[in-house]
Amino acid sequence: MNEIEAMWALTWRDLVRFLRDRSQVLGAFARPLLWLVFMGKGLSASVQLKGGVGYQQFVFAGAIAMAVLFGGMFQGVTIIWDREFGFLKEVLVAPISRVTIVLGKTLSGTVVTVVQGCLTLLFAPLVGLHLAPASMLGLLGVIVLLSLGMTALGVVVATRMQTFEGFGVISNFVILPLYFLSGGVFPVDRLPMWMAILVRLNPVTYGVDLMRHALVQPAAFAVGLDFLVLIGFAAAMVALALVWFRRE
Amino acid sequence: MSTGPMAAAIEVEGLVRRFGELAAVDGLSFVVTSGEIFGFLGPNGAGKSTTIKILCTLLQPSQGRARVAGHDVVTAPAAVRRSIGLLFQDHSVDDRLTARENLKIHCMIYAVPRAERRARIDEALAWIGLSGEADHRVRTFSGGMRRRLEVARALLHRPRILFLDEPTTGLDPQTRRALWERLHDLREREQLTIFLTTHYMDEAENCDRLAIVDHGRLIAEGSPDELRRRAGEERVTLTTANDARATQELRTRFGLDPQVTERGLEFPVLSGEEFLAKLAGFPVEIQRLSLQKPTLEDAFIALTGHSIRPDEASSHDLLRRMVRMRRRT
Repeated sequence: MNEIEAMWALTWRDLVRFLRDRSQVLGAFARPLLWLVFMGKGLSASVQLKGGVGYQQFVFAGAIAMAVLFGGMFQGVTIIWDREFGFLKEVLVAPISRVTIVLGKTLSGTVVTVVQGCLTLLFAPLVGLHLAPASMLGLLGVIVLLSLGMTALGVVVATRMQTFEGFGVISNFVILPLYFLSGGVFPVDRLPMWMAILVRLNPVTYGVDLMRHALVQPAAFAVGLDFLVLIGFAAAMVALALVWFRRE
Repeated sequence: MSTGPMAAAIEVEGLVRRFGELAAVDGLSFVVTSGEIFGFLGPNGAGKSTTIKILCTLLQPSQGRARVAGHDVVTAPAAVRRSIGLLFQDHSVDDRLTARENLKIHCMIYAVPRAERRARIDEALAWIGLSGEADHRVRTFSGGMRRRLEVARALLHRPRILFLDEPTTGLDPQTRRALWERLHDLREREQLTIFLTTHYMDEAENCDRLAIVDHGRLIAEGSPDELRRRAGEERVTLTTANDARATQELRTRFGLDPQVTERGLEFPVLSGEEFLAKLAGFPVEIQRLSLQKPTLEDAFIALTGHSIRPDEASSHDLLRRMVRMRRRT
């Protein structure tokens, strides 16, 4: 009972912090908008897609994925801030388990990231997409699972990083590859073999596939497989976060 | 569980903690009685913080045993954690939250009964004089205000033992004094046991008993007065109307052997206060008298062979402090 309340305490704290940080809220709005407007508009003239799908509609799933990838990872690694600025010690010495700490942090990060992902949906009419309630539900499911997986991955990364300066490295070597090789920015059916393999190994690919299925075109993989991979990714990341954080 | 006022709050036996080759704590044994203010006095790197971390179950000992509030730190860490409050060396409040929110989170993670929370938080805020700032963000607080908030927070779940790791580092003397008044007051009212580490001599004076630690070992233990006495003698300097006669009288009455110096007659005594009491009715007129006692600093040097080298912050600490300052602006 106390563990659950303690977990909620940690989650509540992060939510309050997020809402008070105007630059984070603003960033959550601005990043996908910039992506859709500049990237979407800029590339739509030169990219030809199958089935007459416009590039702005195509890249919309990618914009959601990007919001979730960056958002989730960032929320997870805020544990480094907590460590550096002392709050983590207050939590570590409390009579609560490490599992509670990781779950509390992951839960708050997931909620914040889901909010960021859903904010992107507000821009759908801007690129001529009209979402049916069923599509919305499917998108929400993907956003939740992907947010959970990415936040937990952020926690995993944070257990290995001593300072925040390393975050740039992480975004270059973890987030961007996951993003570029997910099919979010360009179609993945005409890639060289080695790249196609990497795309298939990337769990984010299956989230993007599902979202695109809900938005503009049929899924490339079976919908069941997509969901299974997303659930597996989230579960694996949470498990890894729990195991690695125990040494903190 | 410990019983009675004289029960041991902390018992440590042969405690060792190694980091690779280095033994940060190298065979410590001591007992802290319930209701006592007990201090670890030593330079940075003496093993003080490591000891606190072990006692608070944040670090496992390599060897030895430690019991806190009657519970073993290795086998019953949860019970230890519920019995203690901890004031960290570095700041640990969330500066984007308000004072009240910080206290509320503490209540939630320490399972303070829900019905009592509001009253305890209000009472704590009043006690540290921050009732008016309860709903202000901590980032607007001064260092002293933050520290007071941390003390109040550490006590919210009514611990029996309070650990203070370098509690007043970086605070101005006035704030330091105010904090200590509150701690003494608390000890009186609640029979709280306080264990602290410090490298400040004036702070060490607040302790009932002190342990001088150096290189992970306990060098000496005792009240501040006892330790001072071990540093050497107290010296009396007298200026009299008739030095020759005074010398004669000091010899015959007290068996002392004064030396004549440019300042007057100088001689060592066992206890300055006792000597002064016996001086009533001394036949020679005394024009000036001064008593020199060894300081804790003298005691430290006499016992360890070196000075305490205060305020030697590592470069990492400095960097962290700079980052923190930048964030505050």
